[in-house]
Amino acid sequence: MNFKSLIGRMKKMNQQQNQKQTQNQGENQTFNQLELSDVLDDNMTAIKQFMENPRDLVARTFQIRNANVTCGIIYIDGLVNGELVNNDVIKPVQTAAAHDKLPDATMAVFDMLFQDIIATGDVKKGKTMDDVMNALLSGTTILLLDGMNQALLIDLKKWEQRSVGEPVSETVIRGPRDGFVENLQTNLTQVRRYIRDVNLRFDTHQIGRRSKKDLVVAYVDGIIHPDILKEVNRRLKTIDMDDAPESGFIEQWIEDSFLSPFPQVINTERPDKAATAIMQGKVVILLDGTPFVLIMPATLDNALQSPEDYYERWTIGTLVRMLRYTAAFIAVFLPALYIALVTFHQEMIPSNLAFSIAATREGVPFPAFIEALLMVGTMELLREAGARLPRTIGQTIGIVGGLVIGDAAVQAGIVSPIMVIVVALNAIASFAIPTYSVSIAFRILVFGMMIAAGAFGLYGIILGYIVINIHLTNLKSVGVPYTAPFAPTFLKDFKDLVFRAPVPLMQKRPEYVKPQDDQSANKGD
Amino acid sequence: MKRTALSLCIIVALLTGCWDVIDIEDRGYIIGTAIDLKERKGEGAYSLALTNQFVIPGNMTSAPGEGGGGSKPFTNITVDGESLMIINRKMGAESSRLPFYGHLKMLVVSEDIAKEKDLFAGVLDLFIRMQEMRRDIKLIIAEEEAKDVLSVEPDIEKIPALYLDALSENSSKTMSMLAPVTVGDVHGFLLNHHSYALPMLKKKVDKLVQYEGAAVFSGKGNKLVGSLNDQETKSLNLVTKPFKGGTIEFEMDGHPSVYELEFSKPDIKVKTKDPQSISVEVSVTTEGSMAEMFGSKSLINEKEISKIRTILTKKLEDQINALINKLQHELNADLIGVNSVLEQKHPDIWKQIKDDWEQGEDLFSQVDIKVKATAHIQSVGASDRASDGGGKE
Amino acid sequence: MKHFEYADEKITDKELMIAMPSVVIGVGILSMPKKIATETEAADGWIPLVVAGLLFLFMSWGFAKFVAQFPNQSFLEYSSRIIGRRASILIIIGYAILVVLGIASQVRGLADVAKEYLFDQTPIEVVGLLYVLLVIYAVCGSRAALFRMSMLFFPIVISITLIVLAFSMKEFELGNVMPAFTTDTKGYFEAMKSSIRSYIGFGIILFYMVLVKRPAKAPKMVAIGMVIPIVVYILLYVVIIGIFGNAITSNLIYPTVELAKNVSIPGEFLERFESIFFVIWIMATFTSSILFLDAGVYGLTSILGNNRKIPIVLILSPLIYFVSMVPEELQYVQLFGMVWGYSLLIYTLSVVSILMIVAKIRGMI
Repeated sequence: MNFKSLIGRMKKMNQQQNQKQTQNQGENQTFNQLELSDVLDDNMTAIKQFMENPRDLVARTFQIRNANVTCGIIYIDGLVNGELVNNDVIKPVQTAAAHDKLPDATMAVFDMLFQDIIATGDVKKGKTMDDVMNALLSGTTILLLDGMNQALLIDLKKWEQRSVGEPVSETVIRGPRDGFVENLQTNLTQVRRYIRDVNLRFDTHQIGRRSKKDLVVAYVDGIIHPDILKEVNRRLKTIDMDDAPESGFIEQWIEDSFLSPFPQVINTERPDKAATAIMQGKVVILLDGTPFVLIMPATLDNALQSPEDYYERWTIGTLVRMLRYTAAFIAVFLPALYIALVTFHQEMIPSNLAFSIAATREGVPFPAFIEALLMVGTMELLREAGARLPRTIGQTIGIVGGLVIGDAAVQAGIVSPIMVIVVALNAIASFAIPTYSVSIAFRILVFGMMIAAGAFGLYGIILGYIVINIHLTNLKSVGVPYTAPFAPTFLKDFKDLVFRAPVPLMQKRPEYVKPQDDQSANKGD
Repeated sequence: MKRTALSLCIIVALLTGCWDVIDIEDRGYIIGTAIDLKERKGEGAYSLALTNQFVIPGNMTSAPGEGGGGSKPFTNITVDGESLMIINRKMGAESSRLPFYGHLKMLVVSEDIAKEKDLFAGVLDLFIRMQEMRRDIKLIIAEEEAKDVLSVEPDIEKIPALYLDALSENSSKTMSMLAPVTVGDVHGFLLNHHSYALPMLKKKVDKLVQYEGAAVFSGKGNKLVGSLNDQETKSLNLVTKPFKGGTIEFEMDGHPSVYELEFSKPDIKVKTKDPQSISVEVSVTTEGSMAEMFGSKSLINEKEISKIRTILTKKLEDQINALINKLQHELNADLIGVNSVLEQKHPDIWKQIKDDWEQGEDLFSQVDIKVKATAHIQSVGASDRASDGGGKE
Repeated sequence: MKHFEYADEKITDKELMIAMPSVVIGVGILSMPKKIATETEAADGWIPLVVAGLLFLFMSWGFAKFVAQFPNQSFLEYSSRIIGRRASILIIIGYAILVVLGIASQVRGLADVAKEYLFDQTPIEVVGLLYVLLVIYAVCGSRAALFRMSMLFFPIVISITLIVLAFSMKEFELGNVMPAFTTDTKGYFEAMKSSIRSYIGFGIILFYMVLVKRPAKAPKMVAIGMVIPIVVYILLYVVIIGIFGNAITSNLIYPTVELAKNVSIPGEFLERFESIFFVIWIMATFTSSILFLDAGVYGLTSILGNNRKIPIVLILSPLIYFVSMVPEELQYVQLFGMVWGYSLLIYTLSVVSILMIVAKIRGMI
């Protein structure tokens, strides 16, 4: 069969295959393994035809001087470093025969180019159309030789990217300032720089049926429990979607329970946090195109930890953690407790406080439950509005919403001032939780607890609390119980929980991920 | 599917809930209650008057700039009726807000009610039983109308009941005041058939009341059998509990002197072999200093000090003896707690005489009680002689 | 994505240890001091509490020792080997019936206390229904989760108890505790009967032993676990007597809750503590109910097959709910609780002794 017509057919098939899922496995394979032609023109045309010759595709042919050999070079403008292509590929190839005579056999010329001429580190040989297309799309430069049914895939990637900057979503006062960026290679470099261990492994997966994206599973071999790794890899292999624009897609595909409000995977922008997790025996998943990497397995207490707990001295670290646990409690329960006390259990409030609350509530038209719902709802609205707006306007929203509306509502007698305090405290407490995805989970629970408290007072709250606990104890992250190390109890892990032990005393890795090598430090002499 | 059904059930249950929702501002907070006897309607039937002091929260928090505003932060509602339950129901109809006893602090009962056998216990029963009430409601007896006590208008506190409450807390500093007794305490006395004393209250002028003496209740019929005056209350305080602070006045060589008590500790020892021979020794040890000397004696002198000590001891013993005499023969109420000592130290004998202690054979009045006081004088103030500025210590 | 169980569903030593007090301490303790104080003088009630406690400690130790000889065998498996499959099935069904009655009595007891201290208008039917729904939700989940839950709740329950005890210490009067040892034998005997009921529930080890990771250590863990309720009961009892005195205690319906009512928190942050205390105590009751029900369900699934777990729960729980709402007055509720308590005790004891004797005769142990 004519190569050109074959290409035409294949192209058609390829489109159909994408439309109708993978029905015809056999034909699909023929396309993937379609070998390159001997004729340079055929290959060039085929590639152009495949992509319908887009404007960012650069494809030109040139001759090697003093020799009758035609070469073709193809790359996508913007994904490669044009200067390097000129200096390291085109120029040396053109002048390859300037001093010595080229060998006669095309095969020998090809090998010579591969071994001697091209002055770049990462060069591979490609045999099939599939190799070539994938490489091309991910930014590799393709060098073809007339009369040769192989291609040289030269990695000269370079594209415009954000430089490494401070992570926006997780700031620390003390600690490294660099954050992950959108480029996978840069991110891997950062992880590598933190962990200089020969056993650091980067397992690569390709995600996306149409847009094939690189995904790297990073871990340290010898620390991680093999079952966790196996399970993560198994789950990643089940992913079957067009594209994964952000690691959130991966997270939601591989998490244990999609019904849970709690994130079973922690995400971070901070390489130091990711590196610490890897060293603890966890798996970090990096996806090309997003600065957010995933850490698995995650437990509830991870959500209340920040890398800075370790950078400051242990007293501070411990106190801050206690503060956060209190904050978590306030973030979930405060409005509910207020409702329960004010509408059910007035006898529990100290007399004088009860009278002053009653005084401020006089004239408020709504019952406390509705009042609270209104205020917490408004708070959510403000938060959402502030988050989506440009930073400068965002601050205005805070002032207008928080101060003006709050004050006006009190003045107008729609809400009582104590309710404003309660809601503000609640919101502040939820901002004090270092992991955003957990903090928003708590915001959901607030509403549930408020409804329970509005209907049954303290009884409702405790039932709500029990429901949360039932859910949490049933929840797992990559098979690790979400409530570990509280329950199942690993007493050794309590050194790094609410209490953050002095660094020389934290000699073991967390037991709940069952690391193979559990010693992380030795007591200094 | 099952989860959905389950959550549906929960949601339905939640939405149909809310039976008990009462907003905080819709409650009528009763902070003090007074009970008076209106009339006796023959044997066992009475007409009572219940006065509830409701707090008006809106008037409680008047900003300082507003200068008081003029409206009172409380209101008293009095309702008559045959029994407290009936009155309570009427009360609900009369006040626009639901009467709520969760913050009740003071219960004032008039002397008339206390004198009626069984009526007093019956009245208390409601306050013990109602779950809404706390066990630490303070109970006081008003000499005249209990209602009047709740309508004093002190300048220093906004609400009369809170004023009474604060006043009763001073008992730890004033020896002639009985420590507050709570409803829970009385519950215990009633169940154990112990005699007990409650603080008495007297309305002085429109704006003030005063705690004065104690009302004595006998464990026998649970009714008021008499009262103790200030002096007797003081002695009662000395023999029943360790005390900090307080003063004892005495005369020395015709000069009035004051002994400032720093610390006193009572001890009751009971010696007994059989129910017929019970001997009791009540001892009180005090430590203190001379606060005021209206004479010009030098106190460094050991002789002088021992002289003071003798006078003081004598004075204390006399006062306590007088109290015990009154308790044994006039009131027949074992307020000093000999019965508890017997029960704890000599349970076998106590079991035999339990029913004959205050009633029956009336053993309490026949017991021989010895009183022994020991007074230590620690320091004599900054200067030993006030009149001519002698040597300093 | 649930294909992988990395943390195995076995019960660790610690979980077994905590499960014992979790299942033993339930709603009964709220009224227990009253019953014991009625029969004994002063604070003598601690003696029957200790004696009964030690008795049960040894019994549970013996049970665990016996069952541990059949490692990795479910109750049905080992009892079938001893007395035959049919008899074993009958035993399990009998146990399941007692479980239904027992949880029903717990639900009712809890609803009554809630009605007394938390609600005025809310019908106990609703209070009980919500509780039963939660029990269903919990038991439908994984078995290991129940043990984890008791691990999570236990410290909270213990700390609230300690807080109540600590803050009420200043009202403790030594005089109330005196004199010691004045109760007559009959009093002790009667009090023993009440104390015994505070310790039942340890029978769950018969069913759960198969899940225990290290059965050899189980008897020790069970015994340590049983020490906890003894200590908690004695502390509570002595402090309650020390504060209220014997006479008042025997006149209060729920002395333990009244103790919390008496507490004043320093700083006057909250005035009354009883609602909080009771509400947290619900957690203790809850762990007791779920472990108990799950033991019954576990027994039944071993007969009917593992995939029947949820249908079994859904059949048992309406039963529990309806039984719990049958008695109309407090005295019947207490009678119900009493009858149930003794039947469970006698049942468990006789089942285990029959098993032990037959096994001995057949030379299996």
